[in-house]
Amino acid sequence: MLKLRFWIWTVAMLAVAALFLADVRPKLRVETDLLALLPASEHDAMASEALRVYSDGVARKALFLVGAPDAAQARAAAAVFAKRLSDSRVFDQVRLQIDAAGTDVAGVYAPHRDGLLSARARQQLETGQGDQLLADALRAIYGPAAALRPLPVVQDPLNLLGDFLSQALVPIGAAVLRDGVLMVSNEKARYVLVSTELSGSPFASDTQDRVMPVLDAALAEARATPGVAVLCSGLLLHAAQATRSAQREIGTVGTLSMIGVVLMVLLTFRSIRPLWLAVLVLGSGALAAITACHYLFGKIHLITLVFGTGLIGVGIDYSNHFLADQFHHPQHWTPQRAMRHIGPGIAMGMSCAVLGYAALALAPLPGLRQMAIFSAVGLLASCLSVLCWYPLLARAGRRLDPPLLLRVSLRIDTLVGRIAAARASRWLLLATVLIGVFGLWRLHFADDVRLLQSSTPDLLRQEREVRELLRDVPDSRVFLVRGASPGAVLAAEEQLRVSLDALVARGALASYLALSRELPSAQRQIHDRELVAAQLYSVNGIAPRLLAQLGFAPDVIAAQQRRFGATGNDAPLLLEDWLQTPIAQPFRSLWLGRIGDGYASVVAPVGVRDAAAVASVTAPGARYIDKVADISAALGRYRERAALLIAGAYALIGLLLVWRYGAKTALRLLAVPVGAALLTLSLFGLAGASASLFNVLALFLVLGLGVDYAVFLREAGEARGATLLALSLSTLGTVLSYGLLAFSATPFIRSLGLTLLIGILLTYLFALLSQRPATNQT
Amino acid sequence: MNRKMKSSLPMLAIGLAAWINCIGGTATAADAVFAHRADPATVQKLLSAPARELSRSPVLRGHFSQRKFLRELPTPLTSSGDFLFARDLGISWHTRVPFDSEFVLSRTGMMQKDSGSVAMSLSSDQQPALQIALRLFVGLFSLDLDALAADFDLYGIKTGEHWQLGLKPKSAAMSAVFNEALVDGATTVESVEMHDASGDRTLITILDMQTAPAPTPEDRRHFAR
Repeated sequence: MLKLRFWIWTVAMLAVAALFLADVRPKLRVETDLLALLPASEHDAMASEALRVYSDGVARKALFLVGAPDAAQARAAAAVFAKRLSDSRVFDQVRLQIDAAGTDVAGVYAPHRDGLLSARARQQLETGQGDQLLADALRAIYGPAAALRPLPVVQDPLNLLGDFLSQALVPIGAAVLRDGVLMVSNEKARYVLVSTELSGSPFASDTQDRVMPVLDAALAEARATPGVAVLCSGLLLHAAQATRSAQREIGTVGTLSMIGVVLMVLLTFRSIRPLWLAVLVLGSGALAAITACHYLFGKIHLITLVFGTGLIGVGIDYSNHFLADQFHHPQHWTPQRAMRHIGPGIAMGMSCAVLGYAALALAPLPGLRQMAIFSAVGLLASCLSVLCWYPLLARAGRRLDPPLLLRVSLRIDTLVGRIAAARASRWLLLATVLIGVFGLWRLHFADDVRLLQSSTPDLLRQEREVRELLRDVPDSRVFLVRGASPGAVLAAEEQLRVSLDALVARGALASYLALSRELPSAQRQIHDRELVAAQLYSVNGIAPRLLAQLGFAPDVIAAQQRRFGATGNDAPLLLEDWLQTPIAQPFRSLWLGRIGDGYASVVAPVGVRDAAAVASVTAPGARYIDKVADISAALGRYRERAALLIAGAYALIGLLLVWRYGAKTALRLLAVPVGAALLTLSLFGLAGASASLFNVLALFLVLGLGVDYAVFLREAGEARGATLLALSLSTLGTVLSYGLLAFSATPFIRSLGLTLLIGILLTYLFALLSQRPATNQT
Repeated sequence: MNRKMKSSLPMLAIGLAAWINCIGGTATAADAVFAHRADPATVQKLLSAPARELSRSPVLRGHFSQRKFLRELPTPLTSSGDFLFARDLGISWHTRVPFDSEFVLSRTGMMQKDSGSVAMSLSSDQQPALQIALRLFVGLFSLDLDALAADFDLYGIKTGEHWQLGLKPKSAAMSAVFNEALVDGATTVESVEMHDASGDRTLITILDMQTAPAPTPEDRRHFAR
């Protein structure tokens, strides 16, 4: 029977290993976007999809400001920097030179110019101020700004195209065009702008692997020149930095906890065999967990892997429990006998933990679900490895005198027993409860998106400097505009822009980016052309009058009138066609294309001064979205939901315990992890620290790790010493693995680590307190 | 907070490229001067001593007469008036004939006053191309060669006391303002001729150009908003 189990499990694990090597490893994708841990958005499916398309486009851009005290030096350095980036061919686009060749704006619009009016010209024609328009146009022809006219006077006497184009221009803040490049300056230096676009998501590890070596080399080369500075901005650098720090942490935490665990096992069992058995157990756990995540989710999140490193501390528990049993009957120990002793306890502890994780896998949080599946599968595989392999593979150690950790554990247990037996213990319990309640009452929650961010101060400083240098730039607050057709989207934008223009006029907003600013809806173009036909190019209209006043010959004027009337000259410029032209390139990320059963675009406010006023703008088909606020709100909501789920998981475990042990014992067993979790939160409250979703998530790990402590002690009976040793090993392992996360650079991993560290130590203590051996109980 | 920053900055690229794109371009007349490419230092040597001083003067003022040659228009449009360049304040281009219209460009924006009352006013945020025009005008009339050399290839010849300076934009973006310009003078700038991107040509003759060490209170009033 034992043999059969051994071989079935061996074959199963070999199959998993083969599958992993052949199929999973080559295709494994590691996700690094922290936001992928959260649900896409709280909006409806179409809005979420639209927002995702837009964010993906924006995320792929990165900006660099190459600066030097002297403009020529900055320009030269920027040219080398841009060349390195574009030569590497890892970027989709690298822009330094603002070269207008091939982007003939006037050429694209000119054939349609009679239907393209600026708001001012439209209003003047609509309100019968044609004569004012004529007088202004006449003055403009004499004035110095006439040099900027895109078309000769005879072809567009009122400079309607020039007016249209100037209102289509979007303010660029502080940047000025010099010698074909965009420059900004401050008191320290002059900077040249290099803008780039990545070919893939900045969060994809293969994009980072391709781009970062090139970028790092180019940055190092540029910065090696004395006086030259490069400021970076864009998601890529933050994402790459987050990946590096996470990988470094996996490395450090992994190595340190590995060393700790190895030392622990060696010192305790004083033999090599337990070590490689542990490696087998952990290896099968990790393999099974990664394989399951790959097939279930298509990719695995970096944070799941960080968690996974911590699994060492959990999976090793089963191994430790099994092997520690030998100190119970040092002389007659065989693994088969241990299986009878300790097998049910291990299976029960595992069932509790897996049940808890399985409950959490039902949560509507992608990140939580992945971690839950990873943990549940990993624990299940580790536990089965112990139960199936150890009876045949384990050997009793040669030295059977109690190891150091066992002696220490026994001493701690005696101490705890003395406290529990002391007369003051009731008062101590009461005081703990009171302090706990006070702490919980003081606890406050802060669900801030900054928790997700691990950027270094240096990167943040660069980001801030770029922002200050360039002044008004768009941010994450946008309007999503939807319509049944591309034309309907533009028309909806035009309605929205009425409110936005009013905000710009009263200074609540500097400006905004919108497609309809570059290309009016067909509906509006037709309307504008009707105005122009009726008032400008009619017999005795404004255009022929102005041309005559300037002294143009009658036949020249007649030729212009004929041009206007010519057939085929009245077709509006359609969005689909305009998007194909090179001039639309800078605006393409505003167009989201077909989303669901309609179309969508983004209108991006720039330089928001009065956020409340902008947020309160409403228009049919338009919706205001503030991604940062959305994320913070989502963190809060999911914290509450996760807390409820944990309560649910405890309830389930409680039912299982009641079924196995009866209500009274179950309550006592359950009080251990629940009490530890509550007191941990309370300690945060007492310290004045705020808690977030991630503290709650950590408590869910405390649940998984700690729920079986009391169960093991209860099941141990007379083998208390051996079980104590196993628990000490387990607690130490957890402290060595998850506890090390308390030193992470990323705030949320740090709060996870700290919560776990405190939570697991309290669980250990409470388990010892609640499950006293019968002889000690008074 | 920072998430906001991260996702937004790249958007800037959209805005930046957007306005740069309003460019046209046609070829214009060739002149003898364009056979003589020169760097700023060489051109500097061609200039007379007083002309060299212009680029350092805080204030320049004078009268102008302008002739605009438009395509398909048999006779040029003529106008005249006076101008004021104050280095720290901006430019006032005041047409008096055939009508009174003053065009004021400063670092903060642009203003048009018709017969003394403000007819239009734009901040430079709303019209960034104006800032390019401002820099260009000051550069041309004050012969600030270093500033001009940043955006234009320079050409120069000298006949006796008389010199001629030619400019061609280095980048296509700059040809939005003009394709070619010629500046003539002796002790001071005497005429500026610009071939516009649209195919039109503007000839400005300068009369009585004067320098001053500082703007007068009267001068300052031109730039008051």
